[in-house]
Amino acid sequence: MHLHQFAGPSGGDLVSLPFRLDDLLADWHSLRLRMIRALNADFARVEWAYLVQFLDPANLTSVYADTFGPRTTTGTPTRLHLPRPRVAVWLPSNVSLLGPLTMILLSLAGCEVWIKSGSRGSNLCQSFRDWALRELPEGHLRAWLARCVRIDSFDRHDPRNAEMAAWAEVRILFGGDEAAAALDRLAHLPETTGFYFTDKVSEAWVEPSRIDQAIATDLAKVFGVYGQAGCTSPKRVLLPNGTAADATALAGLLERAWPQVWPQRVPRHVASANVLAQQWAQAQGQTARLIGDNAAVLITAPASAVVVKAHMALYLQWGGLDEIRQTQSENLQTIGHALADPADPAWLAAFSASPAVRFVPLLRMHDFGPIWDGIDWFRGLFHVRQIKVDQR
Amino acid sequence: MSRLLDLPAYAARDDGLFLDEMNALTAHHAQWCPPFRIMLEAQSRATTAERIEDIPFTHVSLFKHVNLSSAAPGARMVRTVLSSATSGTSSRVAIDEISASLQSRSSEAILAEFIGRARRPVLVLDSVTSLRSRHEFGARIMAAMSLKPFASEMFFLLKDPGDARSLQLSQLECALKTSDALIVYGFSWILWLAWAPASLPGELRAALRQKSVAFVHSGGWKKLEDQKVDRASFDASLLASVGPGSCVVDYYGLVEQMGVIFPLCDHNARHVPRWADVIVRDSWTLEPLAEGEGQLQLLNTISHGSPCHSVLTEDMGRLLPGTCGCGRLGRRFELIGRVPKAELRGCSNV
Repeated sequence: MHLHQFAGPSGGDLVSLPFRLDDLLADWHSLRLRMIRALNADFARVEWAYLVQFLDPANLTSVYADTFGPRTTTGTPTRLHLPRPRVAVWLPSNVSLLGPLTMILLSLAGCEVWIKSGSRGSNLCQSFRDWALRELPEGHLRAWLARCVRIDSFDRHDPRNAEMAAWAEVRILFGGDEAAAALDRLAHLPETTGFYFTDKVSEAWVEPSRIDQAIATDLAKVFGVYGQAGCTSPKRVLLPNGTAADATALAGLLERAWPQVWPQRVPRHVASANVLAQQWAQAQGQTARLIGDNAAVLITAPASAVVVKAHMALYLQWGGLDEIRQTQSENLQTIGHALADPADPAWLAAFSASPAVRFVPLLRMHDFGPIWDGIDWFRGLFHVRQIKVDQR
Repeated sequence: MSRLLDLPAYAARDDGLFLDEMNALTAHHAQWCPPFRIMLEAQSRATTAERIEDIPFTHVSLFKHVNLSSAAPGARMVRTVLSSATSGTSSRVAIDEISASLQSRSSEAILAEFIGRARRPVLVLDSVTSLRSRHEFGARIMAAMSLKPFASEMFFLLKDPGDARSLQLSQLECALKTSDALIVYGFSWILWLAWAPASLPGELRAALRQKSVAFVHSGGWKKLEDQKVDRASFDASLLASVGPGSCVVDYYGLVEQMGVIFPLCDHNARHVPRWADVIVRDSWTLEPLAEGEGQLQLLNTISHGSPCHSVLTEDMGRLLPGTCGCGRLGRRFELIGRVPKAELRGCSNV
């Protein structure tokens, strides 16, 4: 085992890992360089680009820094962190990058991992692992992916669910409330931990004074990746204390930005669903416009409006902060902001009054990390042992 | 109420009259269907179109989400027809008395071109219980009832409407005794499940071989494709059980276009009756396409109860050029299937 020292909040945290962290990070870096030159065909271009960005050495280093503080060689350690040996991960069907991203973070702890991917749709986790195994030379990362990662695809009725739950010291689930409850009912050892990340929605706040082409481009980027299918996608864009004219202005800028950000056509059924969403909104008296060859539909309405649902329908809504709070979803996860001064106490108070657990710039909305849904799950991958090195 | 119905379904078209009648219908729905009016206003669309392709359309799935009933004063709504809820929600289409009459005339005129006008027993692969609701009817039973003008008598062959294998042989036996010619109607997959593998007693099988049977089916091939059944084996299997002069007629229709159906002719084309039209649209620009595949927009002059007179479907097709070997006039198209659904990935199962 290799000990790594961090300047944690208590004065010093030692982390014991089955590899030298720098070696592992170097392996990821070498894979990242290969990824920049090649695309795995199972991934959408935007998914691959995000994965490359996620593997930026600074980002991976920050996982430990955010959890245990900066690396240090001085100070007196007071705690020793040992990775829990076995982690089980349940992924839902049709999931995008969560599988590969979680797997990457788990590699940093060196745990043995058993991943259940959805029984439908493509399995990006398996695809990424296979691709990495083909590309990587012998080394710590290759050995970990080959020997310590098991990926299976089966449905929720499969007996392997119970087997996984009984095997793992840490259970991580992404899915619905029902799936989380069902997993929690499965027999598991005492003193094991479960992190259940259930369905969430997000929204964006754009201060009317910040509306410009750059903000519209950012919005097009964060919404266009997943549309309404992403828990970190803005389900709606709110213009605090704004007006219908502000929403119309933003819609115009988004329409202009869209073809630059998303030049490719959406699947035919998505285009058709957007035509439906436009008519549905219009039939309710709302203003709706199709943009980017029917790639998305922008609907402008007050914050309290009854909304129509479509995968690529984005509401641009105006209202006071009270009205915004009253209409927020109780499972709100992220508020992406484009505010003149996000640190203004009024905004922070509005954030604290909301159910949201993240308040981040627009372009950081999709960033996955060691703290998720307000849960410090990466820290939870470790057992903690107390150290007292004084003589008495 | 539609002069276009005064001539046979596939007589020469009169597009000028068609446009006039369509514009009148658009104005009618704009006046009496508030959501439709609000929608047109939002699109800054005039109710009078200069060209057929400029006639505003309603997306077919809007009938699942919005009450689109055109309740003009004095109009009597006679029923609501529900589509099969393949996506979990049914379309609800209001039918008024005038439309019901026109739709009946329309479907009779179209089907007569394929199965003749003679009255004969109609055997329906559905249960009589499907008719028990007074005001709301499913698409399947309404399709069956469109054959009423051809029926000397109707027999409902299924005991349980939800079970294609609950064939009531006693009903079949009664029907076989009444005529040498029959019509058998069912949704395509039900006809296949109920009829093709039916293990009939020897005397019934022998009796059927003496009958001339027109099998009429609709509802699409999706479930049959899942079972790897193609059209040739479907037709051959049905015709093997019956006598000379029998035929199989597959028609395309939807609840949002009640009364206007598109049977497949012997030259694999679906012909458009003169009181209807079809436009193929590019899904991404909504421009009409003279060539190539796109989404079908279906139009008709016989829908007064709700704005079904112009509907953008989620079915794919393409216009066929030239004239048809079957001799029918007017536009015709090839139905390709449903708009394909691609997987949408998200970060969770929302």
